[in-house]
Amino acid sequence: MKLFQKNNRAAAALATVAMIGTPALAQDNDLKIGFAVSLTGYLAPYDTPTVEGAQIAIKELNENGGAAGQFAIEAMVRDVRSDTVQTSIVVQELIDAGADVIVLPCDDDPAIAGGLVAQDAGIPMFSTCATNASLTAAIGDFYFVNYVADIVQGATLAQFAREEGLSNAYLLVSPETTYTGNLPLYFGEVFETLGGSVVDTGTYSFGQQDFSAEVTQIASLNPQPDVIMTSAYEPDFPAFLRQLRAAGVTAAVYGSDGIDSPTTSGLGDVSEGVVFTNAGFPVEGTRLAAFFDAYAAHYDRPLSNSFAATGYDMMLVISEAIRVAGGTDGAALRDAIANTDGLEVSTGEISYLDRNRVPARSVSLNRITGGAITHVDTRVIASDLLPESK
Amino acid sequence: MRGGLVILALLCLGAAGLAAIVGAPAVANTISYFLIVVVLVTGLGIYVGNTGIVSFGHPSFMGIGAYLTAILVMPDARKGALFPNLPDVLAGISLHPLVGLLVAAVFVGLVGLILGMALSRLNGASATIATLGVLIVVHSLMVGGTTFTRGAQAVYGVPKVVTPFYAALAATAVIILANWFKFSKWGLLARAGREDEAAASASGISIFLSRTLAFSVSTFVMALGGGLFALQIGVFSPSEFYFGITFSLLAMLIVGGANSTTGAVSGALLITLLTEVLRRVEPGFELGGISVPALFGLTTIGTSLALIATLYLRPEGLFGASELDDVLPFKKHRVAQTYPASEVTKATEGALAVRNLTKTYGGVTAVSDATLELKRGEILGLIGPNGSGKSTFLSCASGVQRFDRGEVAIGDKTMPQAKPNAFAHAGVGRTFQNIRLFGRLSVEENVAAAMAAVPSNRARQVHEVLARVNLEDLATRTADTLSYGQQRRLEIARALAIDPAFLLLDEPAAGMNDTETAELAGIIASLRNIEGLGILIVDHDLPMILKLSDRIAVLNEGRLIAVETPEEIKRNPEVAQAYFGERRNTGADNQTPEFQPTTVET
Repeated sequence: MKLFQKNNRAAAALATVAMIGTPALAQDNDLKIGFAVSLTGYLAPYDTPTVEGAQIAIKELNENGGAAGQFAIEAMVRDVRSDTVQTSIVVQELIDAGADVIVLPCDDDPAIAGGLVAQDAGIPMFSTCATNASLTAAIGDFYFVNYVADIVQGATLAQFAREEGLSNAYLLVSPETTYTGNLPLYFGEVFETLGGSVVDTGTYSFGQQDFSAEVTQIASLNPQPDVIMTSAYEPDFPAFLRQLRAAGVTAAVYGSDGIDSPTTSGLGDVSEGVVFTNAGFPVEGTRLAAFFDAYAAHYDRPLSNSFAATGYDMMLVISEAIRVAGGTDGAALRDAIANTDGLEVSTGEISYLDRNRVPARSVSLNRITGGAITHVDTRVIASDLLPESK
Repeated sequence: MRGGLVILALLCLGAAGLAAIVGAPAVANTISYFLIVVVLVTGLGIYVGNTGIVSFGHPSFMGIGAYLTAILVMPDARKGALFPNLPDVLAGISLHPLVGLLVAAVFVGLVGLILGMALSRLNGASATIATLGVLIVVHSLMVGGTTFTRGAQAVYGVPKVVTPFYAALAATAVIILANWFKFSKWGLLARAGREDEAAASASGISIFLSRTLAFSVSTFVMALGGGLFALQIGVFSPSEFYFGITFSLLAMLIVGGANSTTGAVSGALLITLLTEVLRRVEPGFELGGISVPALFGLTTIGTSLALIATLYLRPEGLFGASELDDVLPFKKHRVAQTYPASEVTKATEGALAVRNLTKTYGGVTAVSDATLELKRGEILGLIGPNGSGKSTFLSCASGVQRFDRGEVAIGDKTMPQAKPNAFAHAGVGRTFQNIRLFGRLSVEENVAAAMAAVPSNRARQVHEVLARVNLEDLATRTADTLSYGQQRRLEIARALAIDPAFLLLDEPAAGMNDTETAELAGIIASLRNIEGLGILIVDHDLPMILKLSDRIAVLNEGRLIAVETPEEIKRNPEVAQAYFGERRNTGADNQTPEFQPTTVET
């Protein structure tokens, strides 16, 4: 869910996002996508690139006749300011304006608040990058997870850790968000299912800086963990990692997409060997690499994370669903999305079939080697390995 | 009911009517939320406005209200899934939303009462910092208290039953409640405490109690707003009740004017309108062929500019401390004018006695072993050069300041130290050297606050007390706007409002012209002659002191050097020396020098 680029050129990007999104004329045969997203506030770093990626897909699709080659796509982009109430109001406005699909912000509260409105109206919806799979239950059958769910990242990391021969895990969680609180626990569950054992679980607070208590606890564990799993991100992750290595703990450190940031690879020796997942790594010659190039060409700046790609993919899923459904009827679209199976998208394959609206999509495993991020593997986890979302 | 209140109520109901006319669900949502914000800002204003203490902690109570309402109202099945660890008592009930809302709000109001007791012992900035602590602690409890919450995870599936009409009813009720509290006895006392703590204590006002009640009432309203929020949006998590909403609500309160209910409502209205306009402009638009590009973030910029503009141009907010009633030609609000007699035990005989009083500041002895009695029915002048200890003596004798040795007694009852409140209740009224009125309160409110705070054995009327100092025609004027002499007289009226046996006047004639001084002297003399008060006057206006006083006490370097009649004082060589630094001895006939009754600038 969380990627943390400090700059994000947000202001400049915002204007662009909005301007290029509205050329398509409303026709009978059109598809209106209502983006109730956060272009300002704490969610802007995630929602903005997702919308940017979606805009590229919309442009490409419209150049070829629209979604499914016949439904001209109109993007209605509204800023909800990372605010729960505003999301619920804006979603209603977008529905009143005729939206056929709704895109929601990247965090649970606003996604649920807006989602409940769209659910009542029977309109299919995605969150840009909310990774809590429980939202499908909280909102209802018109809601689809788009980004890699926490359960998927946790399970993928656990599977990989077992493949690496690691058997004792320590989990570091923070209950302050579901992402930092639950993702390591999903890892632990799958890790144990696959024969590993969780030796202990520690808790930290956002911004605590001093991790000596946790590090001392880890150093004194018997048996020593050979892998430490956390979803901490900046500034907590670098602080923790430095203090951990300074204390002489050599266990492998696994993290999730929250540390997919230049900061992590720039930490020097301490970050050597750190493993983390994200939604895709642009390996040379792949479709994702091509998307990264297309993004750079379109926005005249390089792409620094995978949110834009998953935003692009979302539009491809919608386009395919509208082809299958043959129109923009909400229920038909919902069923078509739910039956998506093995669709080729920029990050690999995506399937919603039999996954309870949490997509099976590729997850990249990456390792920091010599101060650079190297791609280890891209895989789609089997659904029977997924833990139940909390 | 008064005009202003009717207009505010009509505004709320009119907003709900607008939602009904337009019919679009999005408009209904916007209006419902606006009305809930009115509830919240007004609730915050009940505390911030009446006590003058900025609170960052109030969204905590909104949060507790939201959680409690959700738990009480949600259907059993869903509750079981979301809150598996809930105690059976809570897990099994599913109340009507209105009942759940009120139960939650009353519970939070009681929590607020207890917490208010702790908070109200702090003043100014320390109280504000403490509310910040409340915000952070409650947020941590919400995240950590997973028996009653879902930790950081969202609570969802709260029945969305709030319509614009219900929200309008709630907002109207809260506006009426806020207005009622503001002008109630406790609201009046809290506002007096806000204006001047020292003067409020000396007028017998328990700042602690009034603040605690204001806190409790405002937390009740915040919980109501929180519950409505939950029943309107249907989903929330602890992050909804943290810094974000704290600053939004405070911004609205500051823009509108924290010290008035009208201000709170207008702040909410103004910021909401501004936001609604700006967010429609944000995505860019075409106007007469000109294409205006998108500029997201405009709403935030707009509200920030509104806040800055307010702080620059109208630091007190749009409405300041005034209500709609004050600017409308309808009937003005008046405080209760009559205060009935009640059973109180006060010493009815005996003097205000200061015995062997010694007070030192570090190594400096300000008052040394001073013994002085103020009898009922006498005017006692207290004079002495600058720095002789007059003000210190008065502060100790009126219970404002602690002292090192000695005692102060009223009749046969020894008074506690540094408890000005207790002195007021025992019948000691006082004024201050530098005027300390409840500046933004009306003239009659200044008097009524003291009257309401200190019960008396006899019935009192506000206008009677004002008439005593010739201010009855100015009853509804704001105290700040009075002339200097009028302010001095109002201070005396406020001291008289507690039905005192003793009156301590600290330089009552300072800065007055001759006419004003003469008028004042007449008033003071009548208080002794008609009311039989014992009056202690500290002043530099020697002609007035000599003319008025039955006895005069002279302090020099902290010691009482004489307590005599004015005639004796005039001839006392030691007094002359204290004032002029030398004996005016002509030498030849060794005649006692006569003290010159002129105003001495010291």
